[in-house]
Amino acid sequence: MDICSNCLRKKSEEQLFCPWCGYPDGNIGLKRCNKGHVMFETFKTCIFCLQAGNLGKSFLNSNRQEAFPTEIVRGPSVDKTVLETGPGVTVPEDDGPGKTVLEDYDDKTRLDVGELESETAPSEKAPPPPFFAWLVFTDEDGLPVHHYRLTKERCIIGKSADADIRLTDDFISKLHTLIFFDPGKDVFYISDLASTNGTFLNGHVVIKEELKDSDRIRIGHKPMIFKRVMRKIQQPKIFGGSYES
Amino acid sequence: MSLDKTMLQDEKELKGWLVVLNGQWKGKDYPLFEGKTMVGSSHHAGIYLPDKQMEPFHFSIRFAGGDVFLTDLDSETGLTIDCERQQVHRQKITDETIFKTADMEFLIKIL
Repeated sequence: MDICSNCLRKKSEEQLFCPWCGYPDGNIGLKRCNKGHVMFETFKTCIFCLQAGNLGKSFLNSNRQEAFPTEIVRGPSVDKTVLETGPGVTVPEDDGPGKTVLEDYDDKTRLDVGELESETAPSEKAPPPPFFAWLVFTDEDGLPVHHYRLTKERCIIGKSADADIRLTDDFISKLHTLIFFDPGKDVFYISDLASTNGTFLNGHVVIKEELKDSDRIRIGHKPMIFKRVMRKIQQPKIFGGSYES
Repeated sequence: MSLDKTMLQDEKELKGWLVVLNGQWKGKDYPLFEGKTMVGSSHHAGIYLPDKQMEPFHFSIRFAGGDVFLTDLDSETGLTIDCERQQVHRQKITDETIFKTADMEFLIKIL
């Protein structure tokens, strides 16, 4: 019999992850892919960039600080959302233009948008993503509070400034959860990034799971609903094609 | 747009999104709230789409008691839902209904 180092509950020595909180066993190593993304040693492909193979050196889980350095390679953060709870919170000074900061939930709402949205056609800008998906943050009663459109194929939720969606909660890790889109299978996945308190999908702890429309996610004390357009969109029959349901 | 205007507005509950599938606003999504949302080329429309073929108040989407209604506001081009050739004036719609008006296609996603 072993004891989980996170929740201190009993678990079998054979179990790699704690059945109560999903925390990985202390002997599980971490490794990196070519792009510097961190993953469990047992993973064959990188859950961030879907690259195969063991490409980097391994780390022991007990030495997690080494596995999460400050210079993690990641694409440019264009549109970030920060949801912060309660008064007295500070917004990082490095928030540049184009970054959305939402501060709300309790007593005040502040919306800072770096650049006013122009009325020019969006087709002149970057091409839209091949999917329509949203994260709807809800209160404890399930009523929507905020909604966030997923515009990138990889979206990291966490407390760190490196996260695409920043949630400030004591029970949320710096890089807590990854939501990513697999264009080959046309499927969204949710993956826990070895967070301390775990990621819950429809009430169960998840490591990596397929996301479906209206799935309920909970990260720390933040409940949210995943919504996406499931219908395959093609040209309609009357205009030369057909719809699929 | 007058930026110094203060508006008091009741907080409405998010009910879904209107997604533009083609045209110059392809890929854009607009939130839909409880009650009626007007869509058109007027600045006073809830969803403002300044397209030549869009009328100032072209159509409306109403969320009422769990049902969603799509209503054509006497537009010249009318509304065509999914593959139906017949134009509709007022139609109860479901999640992920696709409809066409003017030269644009829309999809409604219900929360």
